[in-house]
Amino acid sequence: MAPERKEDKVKKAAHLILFKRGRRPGARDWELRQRLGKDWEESVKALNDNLAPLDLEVKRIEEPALVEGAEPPVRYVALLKGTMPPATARMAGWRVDHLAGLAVTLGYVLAKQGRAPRDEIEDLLAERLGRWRADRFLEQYVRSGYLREDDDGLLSPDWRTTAEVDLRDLMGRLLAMKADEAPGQDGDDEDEERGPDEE
Amino acid sequence: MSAEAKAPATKSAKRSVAEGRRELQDLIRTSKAVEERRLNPFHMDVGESLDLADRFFDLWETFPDLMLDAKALNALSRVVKLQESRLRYQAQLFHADPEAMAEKLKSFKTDTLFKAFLQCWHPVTELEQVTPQALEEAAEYWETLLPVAERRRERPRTQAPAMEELTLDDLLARGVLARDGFGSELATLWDELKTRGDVDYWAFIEAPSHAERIRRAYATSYLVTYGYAWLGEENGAKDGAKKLVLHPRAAQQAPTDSVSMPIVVLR
Repeated sequence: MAPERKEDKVKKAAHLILFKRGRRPGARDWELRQRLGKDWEESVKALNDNLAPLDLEVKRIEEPALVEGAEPPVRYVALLKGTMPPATARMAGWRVDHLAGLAVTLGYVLAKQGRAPRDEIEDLLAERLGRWRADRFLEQYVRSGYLREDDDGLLSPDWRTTAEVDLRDLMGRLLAMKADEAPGQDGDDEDEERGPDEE
Repeated sequence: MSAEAKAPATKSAKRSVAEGRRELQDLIRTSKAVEERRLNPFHMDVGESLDLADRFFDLWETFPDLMLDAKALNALSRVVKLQESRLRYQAQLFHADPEAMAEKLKSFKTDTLFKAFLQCWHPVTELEQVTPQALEEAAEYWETLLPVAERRRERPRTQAPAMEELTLDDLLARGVLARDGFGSELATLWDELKTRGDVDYWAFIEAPSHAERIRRAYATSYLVTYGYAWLGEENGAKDGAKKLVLHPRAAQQAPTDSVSMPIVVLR
């Protein structure tokens, strides 16, 4: 059998990393090794170079180890290299209050050394969004992989936050921002945009 | 010492023991609140708490009281650890007092938070697409799918087939039971591995049929998991490519830490 061409390997890497195949996006390192061979890292790098002009990049993320002390599983995902302007984010279906709630949640969790009780975050969100929406949003953050909840009811950042959010930058911005003069009330959004996990 | 003088000392010692238990239990409860992030770790004066525990230490005579004292010290050591990690965390991510942060977060407008978050957010890209193969499978499934009315229709009750007896030899012949049992199968495999010594994993599980290969791989996973052998990755002699090598152990050695490692056995 003729050896696989480099271009074909890069295409395969693209299929594995870009297309949704399981519960989580991207591909595990062992999957890439198995499908692309021993020089799989070169194929991933080549894919990264091809995606760069599209403002996308392939990123290596370490997921939390299932067993304490074990080596964390590694996954490769494609994500937006730059940032999204608000108008594009709204058009893509992201709700303003959903992402704002996530920013508040992450800011509070980080200020509490990376773990915070769920009920405290719910109270914080409920003040502006109402109890029902606060609870629903937290469920969605956990389901999407932004947050993880342990047996003690403490929330901490999960794999998607590690992959997608520059936490240092977020904290820096939140600390540097001055309080709004008139925070106002947050009512329901007039347009019924679909949240990322809502069906 | 007279009896009257002794009595008050005993009474005050009894009060102190009860008081000591109460104090230590309060200390443990406060430490738990710190661990659950409900209380700022620096709101607890560890030095003072240690002095408190030390004050009652001489009174402990029973095992439960000594256990309580040990528990309290353990809880305090965890608070100290949290204090240290909080300092490190704050140094890493700028100083962010949680209470002040919560007040500040409440003051921002939703739109302000939304825009700030977008500046730090790089969402994962994920594509969904129906492939020709998936459509083919779906079409095949659709062809064989009976209408709901037919699926829900009650089937005519047929007479159950007559019961027949099966002997042990019948079960053995059908592969339902194994003559020797899984334990002896593992022992046989372990003996074989010890005889062969360090061997390539794929060579070890190789068998004439796929079913047999799977069975050997399955049994080998037990040998490795329970410490009868260990699996290592070594450079191949020919091309330098990594290969899996099975190493037998002379005696079982329970593994202290383990990692799950999927191995795909192809046809």
